[in-house]
Amino acid sequence: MRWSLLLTLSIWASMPLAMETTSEPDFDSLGGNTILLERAKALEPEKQISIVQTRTVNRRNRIELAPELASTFGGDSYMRTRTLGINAGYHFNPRLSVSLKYNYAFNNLTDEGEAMVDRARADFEANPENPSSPYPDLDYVRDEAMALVNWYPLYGKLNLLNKAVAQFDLYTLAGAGQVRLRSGTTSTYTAGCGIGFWINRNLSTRFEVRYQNYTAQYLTGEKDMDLTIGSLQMGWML
Amino acid sequence: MIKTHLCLTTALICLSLHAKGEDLEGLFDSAIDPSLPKKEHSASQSSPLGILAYLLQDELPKPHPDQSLFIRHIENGDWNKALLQFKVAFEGHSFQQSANGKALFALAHIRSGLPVTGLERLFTLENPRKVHPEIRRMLKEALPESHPAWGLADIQWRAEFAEIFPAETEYQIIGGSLLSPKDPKALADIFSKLPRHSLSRARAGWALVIHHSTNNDVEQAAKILADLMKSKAQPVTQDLMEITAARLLFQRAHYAAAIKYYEKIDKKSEYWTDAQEEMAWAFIRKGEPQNAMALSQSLVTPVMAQQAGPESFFVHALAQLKICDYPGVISSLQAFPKNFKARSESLKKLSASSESPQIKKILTRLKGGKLSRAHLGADGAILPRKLSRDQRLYILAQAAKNLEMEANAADTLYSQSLALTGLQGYFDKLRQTTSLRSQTALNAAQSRIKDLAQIENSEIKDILSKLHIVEAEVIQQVSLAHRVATKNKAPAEKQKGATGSKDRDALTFPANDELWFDEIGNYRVDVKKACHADMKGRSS
Repeated sequence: MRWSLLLTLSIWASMPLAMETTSEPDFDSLGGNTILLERAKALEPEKQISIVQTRTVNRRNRIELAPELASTFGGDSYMRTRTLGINAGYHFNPRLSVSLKYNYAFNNLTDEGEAMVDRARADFEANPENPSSPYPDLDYVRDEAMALVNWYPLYGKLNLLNKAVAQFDLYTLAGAGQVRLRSGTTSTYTAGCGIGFWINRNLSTRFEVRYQNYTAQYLTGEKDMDLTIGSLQMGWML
Repeated sequence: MIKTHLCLTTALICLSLHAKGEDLEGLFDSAIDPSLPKKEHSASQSSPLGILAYLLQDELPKPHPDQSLFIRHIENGDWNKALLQFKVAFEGHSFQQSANGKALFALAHIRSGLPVTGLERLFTLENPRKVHPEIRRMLKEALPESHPAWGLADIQWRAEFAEIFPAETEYQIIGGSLLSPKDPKALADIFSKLPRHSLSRARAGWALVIHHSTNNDVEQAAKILADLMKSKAQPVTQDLMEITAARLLFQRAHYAAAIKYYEKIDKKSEYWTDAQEEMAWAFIRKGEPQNAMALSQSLVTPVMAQQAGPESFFVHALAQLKICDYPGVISSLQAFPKNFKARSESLKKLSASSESPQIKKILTRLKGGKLSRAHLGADGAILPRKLSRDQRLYILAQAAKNLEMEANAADTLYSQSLALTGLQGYFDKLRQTTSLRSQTALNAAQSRIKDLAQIENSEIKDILSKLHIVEAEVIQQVSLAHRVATKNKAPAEKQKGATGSKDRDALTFPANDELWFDEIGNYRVDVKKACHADMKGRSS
């Protein structure tokens, strides 16, 4: 009863507006009927508004070449390893790609390793006949090659200070290959995740973190190496 | 001593006068007396102006000094002086009334920076065929078919002038501006005559497209447009042709085909907002209000509203009404005054003001060349939204620029004439006429901006009235909705959206109040239950 009275009043109030189209129309009265708004809210249809956008980069049957710079965390405490490499990937579609990775390693001693070498050298110089301080036992990476599978289950976009928008994909990867160590060649496997930004139709950037495992040979015996590798790739889609 | 000095001075004066006389009349002498060595003039004759001076010898077998001086100016390429000298040299002489005399007088105007006046003088010629081929060649060279003077001069094309100028120039006169063909039949004739891939033919074709489409001869317009779209020379931008094709299809109710053409308009185009809005109307007509709503969603966002214009709100509200999205309609109604009340007032001021710095600024820029919406910058908020692409305004601004140049040239000539003879009357009149013309063109350009402001303001008011009707319709429907919602047992109709990216790898994001600029034009609306709403807020 209350509703129908209010509604009648609303209709009556708006009738002159609807009819007086020849006179100067009024901005302020438009949509100002709050009673109507309350009533209308109860009648909202089930609708879904979404944004459907084209990907910045078409990743169907595309090849991607990506030079890579990586750093190794964990593993041998006397050795620091950085790698420079190249990835060649093939995107079947935006969800799945495979790639081949080759990395060349640049190794140097950590502070701890250098201190140990310095101690051993000093000891050798002081007592060349019977030195007692040991040199560090090292088995480092020379280079490696792997085959990888990448899966991109999640996507999103990033607002770059309201100047640009970069689409990205979060992905996981898994792969295996060969690593050439000082002691010889051995097999390796890896798994990790990353984020790939698609800057424009050709340029991409990836930040990747992965776990890598291989068996190193030390004088004392074999040792399972559990490494964490962080890398930055700048890719070019062909 | 004094006597000797006086004699020497007299002798020098006599010698110099003699020398000057030879110099001035040498050209004619060589023409009169074939025995005189012509090789003296061979160097000057090898230049077009030298040839022209030489030819004058036939017309003026015994030139008096003023005529000789005129010829000398021609030979030196000093057209300003030649123009100033013409009346002095030939007033009352038969040469003045001859075809060559008239043509040369016109050429002197053209070469002195008065191409419009020159062209009008030239077209007073009764028989252009009598003009010497060399003068014809020079006229053709001075006024190529692309010269703006063709569109500014008040002349009527005559077939005899085809002897001097190429066929394309006929279009420049008959077609005039691209906006209103003066003679559609003649234009159609030109269109069929000109080479297939020439720009003039394309322009003539475009003028015909406009003519036929505004006269409801859609089929003929579409036929010519299809031909133009395949042509190598394009009269207007590709996007304008595409949106025109879409409009022609819309006019004949081929909505699906029209939508395909509207979709071709790139987001960077000046016509993108129009294409989106018109496409929304096509979807409304097709019975797909959810798509109309999705398309107009981009246009009613605060950042786009003023660029897109008021009609976007109408089509958006109507689409919402058709899917019974009453809260949405009310929200659109409330957003309209926020976006257009202040704009309506500023447009009203602009259309009423006699002097506006924005108008001056924009006209100066339009004289420099075409503008895009991006070029308007902050002034875009005050100026009419269709200003940057208004062809009529651009033509008027260019006309003002060219006539201003002509007025300046006339001013210079008038100043020079003051120092010379007593013939300032002609140049004073010329100065006044060109100045008046230039001012008229400038006023016309200013008026056009004011007209555009007035048109947009009227459009806002018109849409405001329509939105009031929509509001009344909402009130009526809401009153009936309760009964409809409770009695309607039919299954709810799902309306799946078809807008946004059609790429199979498209990304989908939920829409919320936060506006990302890359999302504009990518909305999709799926309706699960249209006009089957439950009374969620029903009072007991």
